[in-house]
Amino acid sequence: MLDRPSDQNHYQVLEISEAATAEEVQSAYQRAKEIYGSDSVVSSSILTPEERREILERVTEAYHTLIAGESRRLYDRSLAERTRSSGEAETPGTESYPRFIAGTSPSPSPSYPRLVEIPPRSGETSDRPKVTLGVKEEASGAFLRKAREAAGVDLRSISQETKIGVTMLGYIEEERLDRLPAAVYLKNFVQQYARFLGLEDERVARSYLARIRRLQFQSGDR
Amino acid sequence: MKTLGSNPKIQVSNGACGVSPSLFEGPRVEPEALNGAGFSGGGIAVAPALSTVSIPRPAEARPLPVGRSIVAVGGGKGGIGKSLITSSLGICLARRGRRVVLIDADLGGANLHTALGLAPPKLSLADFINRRVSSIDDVIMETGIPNLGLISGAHDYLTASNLKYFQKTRLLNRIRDIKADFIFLDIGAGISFNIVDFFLLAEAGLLVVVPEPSSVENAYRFLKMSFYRHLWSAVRGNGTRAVIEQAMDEKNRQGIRTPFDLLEAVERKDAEAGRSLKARAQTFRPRLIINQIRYPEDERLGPSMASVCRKHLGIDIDCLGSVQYEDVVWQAQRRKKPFMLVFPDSQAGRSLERAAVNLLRPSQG
Repeated sequence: MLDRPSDQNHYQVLEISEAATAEEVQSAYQRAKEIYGSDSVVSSSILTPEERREILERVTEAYHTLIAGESRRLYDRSLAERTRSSGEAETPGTESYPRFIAGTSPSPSPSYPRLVEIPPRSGETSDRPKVTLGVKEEASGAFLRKAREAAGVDLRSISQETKIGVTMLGYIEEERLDRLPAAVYLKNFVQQYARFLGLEDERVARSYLARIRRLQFQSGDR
Repeated sequence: MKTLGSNPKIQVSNGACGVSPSLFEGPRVEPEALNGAGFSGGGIAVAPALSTVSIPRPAEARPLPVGRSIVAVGGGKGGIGKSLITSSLGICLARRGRRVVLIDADLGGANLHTALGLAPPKLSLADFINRRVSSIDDVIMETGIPNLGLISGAHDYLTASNLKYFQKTRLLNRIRDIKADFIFLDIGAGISFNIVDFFLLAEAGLLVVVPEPSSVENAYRFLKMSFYRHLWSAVRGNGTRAVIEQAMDEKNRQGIRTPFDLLEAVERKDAEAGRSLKARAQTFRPRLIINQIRYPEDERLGPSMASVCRKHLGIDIDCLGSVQYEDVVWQAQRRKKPFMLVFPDSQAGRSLERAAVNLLRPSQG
């Protein structure tokens, strides 16, 4: 069974192998656009227009990342890092991640830090968060800040516990599209942040990433 | 040469009926012979172009796996050609020397006999269920096509009853006792538990879809319901069962919209149950056939549905192929002739032949 759509990597999104040629990436992109297009019989009866739009955004992001040699190389490295980092708990820095969207990303540092395993929820915060994510609510940066402030903690406390830099935590709250790291890192960070506050970490991270993808798409920063 | 049934006019070359039949050597049938015993609608002329019909040799050839299989053919919607698909696949396999029995388990509208060009039979599955006959073999009627038997529909009984799960299991056990290589169950339209359970109790579930929004929508609903029922039937704990039952209600308040949500919800409550359920989920692998395609782009419907199912439902399905919408299908029905016997060289006939071959292949992955 695959991961849920929001957790699938770019290759899974386009249903291609990691060895796919540019032509295969192109053809998979066309096929996906056909499947999730507005007049598609295949997807309209199972997905809402909103879901299809989100999927098309992910498809577009995957295409733009994988079709260009440099951004694909960076993305492949981040995937490899994620695989290698499984089970390790090394502290990532704040400035050296590949960009969230790799298509126009600045050159990252030669080596990327590993993702940390999400620690159990800290005892510093209340078990029951004062702010929770509603069923239909989107996890935005403002929501995270509101939840943090309601819990009475500052970014430094979260940073000390999660080892995520204060600057990066600030970028997450501010939704700084130009500074956020690649999705694999961002998801991990948001999960840790949410878990620290006693929120549903998986759901919050998923929702936050979907929002960032949409904002990226809308801003044309691909 | 071999005589087909009791009709001396039906001459069959025995390419497929030997001990080790070649996969693509179909017997030849003289069409005029179809107007005889065992076939209703006698006297209707067969088109001259069909003076001799034979099964073509498809491009790919693979050995048939050995062993008996029960194939349940469903679709969630009526009027999409389940009976045509069932009868045609059955005929394809029977013509390759396999013993095939078709069972009309369409709870609402049994008409498989019509697709085979037969008059309504005197005995049906209901006679076995009601114990008017002692053995299920007593209600198998020979169709006149070598190796192909039929148990006619029992709608008069089954629509009036609500078979319990164990009754369905027991019926299926009796069906398993039938001496045949392949048993096809035409389970009719709808997504009631009766229908879904027949679909799940078979070794292979085959879903028929036509390129129409309502059919595609029903197919997805059928797949989801079958998948949830498949999981539910393997669970013992009441808590997990309750979560699955909530998921079956598409408007549930727990926000469970997809199997991913369901597995996550179960895992949250009971990690061990979540792991078991994930393992169980891997064993659900239905097959799909697209019927009545009219345009080239319709050929992509099957693979596209498989893609959507995999990514958004977490369900792997195998697409057996697409069957063209052709006037000859209607002509065969109008003449009350089995389509695969009178128009095997049509596009639809060749596609059905390929689908039969694909059905015999083990599931991909």
